[in-house]
Amino acid sequence: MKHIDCADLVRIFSAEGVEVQALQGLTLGVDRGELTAIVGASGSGKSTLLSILSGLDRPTAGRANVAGHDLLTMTTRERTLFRRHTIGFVWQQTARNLHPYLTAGENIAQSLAIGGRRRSRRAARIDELLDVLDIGELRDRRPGAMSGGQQQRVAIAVALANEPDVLFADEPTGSLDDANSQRVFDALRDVNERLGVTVLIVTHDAEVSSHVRRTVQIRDGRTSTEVLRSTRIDEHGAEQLHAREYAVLDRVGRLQLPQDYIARLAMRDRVRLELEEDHVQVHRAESEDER
Amino acid sequence: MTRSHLGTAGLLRRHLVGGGAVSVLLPVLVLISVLSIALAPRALSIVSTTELQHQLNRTSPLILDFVGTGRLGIPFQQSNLGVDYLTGSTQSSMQSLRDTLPQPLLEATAPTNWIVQTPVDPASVNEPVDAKPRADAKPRADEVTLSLTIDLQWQQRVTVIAGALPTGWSGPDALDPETSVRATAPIEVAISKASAAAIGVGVGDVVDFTLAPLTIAAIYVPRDGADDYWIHAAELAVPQVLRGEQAETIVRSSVYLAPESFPALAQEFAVGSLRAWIPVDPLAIAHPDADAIVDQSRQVLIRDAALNYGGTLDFRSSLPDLVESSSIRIAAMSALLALSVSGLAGVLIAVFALGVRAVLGRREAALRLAAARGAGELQLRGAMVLESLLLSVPAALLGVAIAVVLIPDGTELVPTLIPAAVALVPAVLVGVLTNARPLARRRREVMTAQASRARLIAELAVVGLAALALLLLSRRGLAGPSTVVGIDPLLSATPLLLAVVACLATLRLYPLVLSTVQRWVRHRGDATAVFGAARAQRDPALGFAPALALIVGVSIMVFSTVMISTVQSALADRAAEEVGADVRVQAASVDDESLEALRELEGVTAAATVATTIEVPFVVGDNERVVRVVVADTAALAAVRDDLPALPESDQRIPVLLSADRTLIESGTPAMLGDAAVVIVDIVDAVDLPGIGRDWVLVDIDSADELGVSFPAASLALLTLDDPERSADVAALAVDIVERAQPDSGVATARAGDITTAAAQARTPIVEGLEIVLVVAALASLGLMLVAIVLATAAAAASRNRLLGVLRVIGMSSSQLRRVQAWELGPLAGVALVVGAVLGVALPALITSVLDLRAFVGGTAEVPAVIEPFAVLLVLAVFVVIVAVASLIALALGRRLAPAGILTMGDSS
Repeated sequence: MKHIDCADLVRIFSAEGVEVQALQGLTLGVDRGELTAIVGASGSGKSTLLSILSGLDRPTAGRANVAGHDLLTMTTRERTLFRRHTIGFVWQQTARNLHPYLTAGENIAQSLAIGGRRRSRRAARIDELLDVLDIGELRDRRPGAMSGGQQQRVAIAVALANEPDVLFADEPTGSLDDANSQRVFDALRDVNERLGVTVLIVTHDAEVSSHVRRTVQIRDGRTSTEVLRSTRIDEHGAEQLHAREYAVLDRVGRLQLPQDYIARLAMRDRVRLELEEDHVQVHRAESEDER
Repeated sequence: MTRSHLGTAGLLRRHLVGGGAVSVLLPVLVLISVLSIALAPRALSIVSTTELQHQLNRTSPLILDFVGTGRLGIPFQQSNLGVDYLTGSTQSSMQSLRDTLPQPLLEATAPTNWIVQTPVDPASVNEPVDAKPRADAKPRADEVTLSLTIDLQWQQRVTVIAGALPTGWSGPDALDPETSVRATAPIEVAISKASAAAIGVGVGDVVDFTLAPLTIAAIYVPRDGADDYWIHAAELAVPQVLRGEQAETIVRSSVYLAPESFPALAQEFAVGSLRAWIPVDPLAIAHPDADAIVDQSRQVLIRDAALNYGGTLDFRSSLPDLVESSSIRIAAMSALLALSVSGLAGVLIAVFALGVRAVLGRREAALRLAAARGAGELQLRGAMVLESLLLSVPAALLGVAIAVVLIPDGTELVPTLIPAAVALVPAVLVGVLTNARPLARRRREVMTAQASRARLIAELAVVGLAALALLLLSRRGLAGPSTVVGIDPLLSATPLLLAVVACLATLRLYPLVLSTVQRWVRHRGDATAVFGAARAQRDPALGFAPALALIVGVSIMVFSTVMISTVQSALADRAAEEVGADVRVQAASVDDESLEALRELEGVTAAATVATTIEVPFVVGDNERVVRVVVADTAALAAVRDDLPALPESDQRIPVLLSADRTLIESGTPAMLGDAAVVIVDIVDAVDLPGIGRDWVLVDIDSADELGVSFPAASLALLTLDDPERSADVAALAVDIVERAQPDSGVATARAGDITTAAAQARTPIVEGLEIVLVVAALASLGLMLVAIVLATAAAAASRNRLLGVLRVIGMSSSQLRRVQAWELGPLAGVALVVGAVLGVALPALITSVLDLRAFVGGTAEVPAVIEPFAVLLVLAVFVVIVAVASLIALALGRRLAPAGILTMGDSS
């Protein structure tokens, strides 16, 4: 089973008689140790997905499984333990990541205290985490005395305190400049590689795909396309970046065509499929009877 | 750089310190409430004791002390026994009478005093032996009666100013063998200076007396004139001077004998009288002991004090009755206090809830973060409860400590600490109000129907509780156990529950009122009004807690105002009833010249005299009873007392005015007064006339002769003044005038009463205590409302500032924005003003109809609630000012968050 495994996730909010379908049968699989970015415009349902995956919200229907925990059947107590030991979380706003009146070390210590780690073993773990993120000098500083990038790296350290299997990051670079964004992404990738933590980043910034190997695009509550990035050594021995965009085919065979394809070919209502030897062709319905 | 604390305790401490200034609010609220709760019963206990002692202290020792009268017992064969043997057993019985009293009565009494006296016999003064006229010679009394007194302790009570202590008398001498006459040796006596002067004797003078001649051996004055001994044994200090039928002076006095004379006169004393009294110290009786004192005193009164050798003693004392009536007054006050304090508790809880919300609001981000890191509900609630306990427990203990220092009452530790339980209130509120799932999405699901059902159930539960409390109260009655000082829980809870029900009803009706207002303002087309009204209705910034605080707060203020005016007017009525007019003068006779002189007095607007006859049979139909006939110039009387109409002249039946229960007899009824035919032309509702009572028939002086009964000179004058404040001065002048006109100015005296003195006397400690409590309650509710408004308005700051930011971007002017803000608090304040005023006026009306305040203010007339519109309007105006001030403070605080910053904060706020 995939480390993060969602199939046909549906989440419907209904308020005062109006129903909002935030997720409309989303399917996503992430392997253990993978670093994946989920990209989508505002309102595409990515935040809802993250709430469900982190156990803060329950899906209306479908299947959701994170590190072997079935998110649909968990009790409140199990959810708390899940948040405590299985996952870590980094938000966009630093105010939601760090207590402003605690130092970096104390912020990490709070996570450790909540996780039930004995006091005598906290200091060593804190130093280890700060070391991994290369921010040892921030140990006794409060968030107010750090830059945005430093705060986010401390937030990553806090999220990793209890050795989670999965790290979720919601727009972790949303309020940072490019240089700091780069540092935060580097930190996340580093953590992913060195500690083997599965990392899932949610962002509306399509540029992120240049930083991660796999980018999943969400549109209208569904995964639409994926970009896989790989490096190859070309014939001259130089490293070459190679990115290819895929459409996502769900369990029952549905797939979303990219919006610009549809626009360019002026496809509407119906299309004509033709099965070839090794691919499927999609044609605009040309004649009047086809329309 | 800060040193990091990695331990859990250190982290919690950091968490606390990071709480900010709002965290100070809770401990301050706890401190103030614990202090008031700890002080209230102490203060109440002090006021109760002061009231009790005040009532006892103004009672004469003759009535208050246990006064026993009876006869001394002496052994049958006594002639050769010594004085110690004869009186010793009585003395020890007397001591044990008091020493065996149980506590606390023992504490409140002093050792028994007793004197034994021979019967009063006439005495006549012989010419002094030396026959020299003394320089200070005075006209002697026409008649003198004396009794002989033995008091074993008399030497300690007097100071001899002339002569030497009397020696013992051993009985009549043996028969003189020469003359065959018993030449009786005189008995040496000591007489008080005042009696000696009244009788006209000095040291060495001999007074003829039935038993034997008396020689004045010593003249004394009381060593301590203020000692109550001289009230009980008044004739030993000051003679009683009476005027006989022919205006002759009769002096009645008593003299001390040396106790050694007792054996020889034992038989005389045995037929005389024994007087003993156990002095009661009013200042040694505390109200908490009242019940025990009443029981124990009654035991003393019903117990026969049997003395040795057949002596008897019968005790009388008004102590138990006085203590009991004081207890009833105190219970009435406790009930009133419970009623006014109960509302305050409601406001306090509302303010606590608002304070806790404010603290939690500051903590929201921290809670969300901790929850994201995996903190469970229990951990989050636990941390917040722990925080509030750490804040409020020290404050509560400090409050108790301050109370103990201010009013130490020496009770045990545990009851003293009970008020500190207030510290649990914020902890419980925090535990309940903490949002332990701060990560849960705030998007509203479709559950409105469910939520409204829950609200309805909660509201019905409160209404049910209120109904139950009312039912229990109506079964039990308002007054609890009479001597329990403190707050009656049922009585306290009921008005609060009623107020909560009123609040719930108000909040239910509030949207309806607002939608009406909204429709109305829409027609006027004022954009800010339309917007403000719509916001007030659809997104009210203030919820149940501020509504409760404001409605109950206003009602307490109005309640206090109405109760103060009610009590003051009741006291004034009582004083007027007691005096009968602004000034009253009573004397043996008030003649027409005196009346004219009284009318001439400066400030007197009307004066009338009243004469009463003895009781006369009065027959109406089959009903015969005995009434007193009051004769007066009814025209003049009507000018003084407008409730007593002037009687018309009539040729047939004599017109009379009857004081009676109006329902029993109709006016115009013919009746017989003695032998005269009268007609009742008017009836007044059982009016009390001073010195006359409530059962009387008023007859005009012109028709009085036709009654055929003799009536004496007028003995009562009633005056009305243009300025009642001057009544005490006028009363002093009036007494002078009337006294000078008495037939014999040496003896006859006049007594006056005036309305200011009577009113001042009616203001006992308990009345003053109640007034202070009512004023304090009003001020406290004012302060709490201020805090509540500031807290509630500040809590709504974030949403208001977001809104104002949007409105400013749209282009609203500052004055328009201010008007939008006014709509936030305005409608609720307006509703609170109306509902609170109605509650505040209704509650005193309810109280005066079910709780008999006569127990409290005295008097005979029922006490109605008195509403002074001006005072009530003033109080409501103060409320409006406070609301304005509070909202200005809150808006100033809220403005520190710049609207522009808030607009960019998005959903993070």
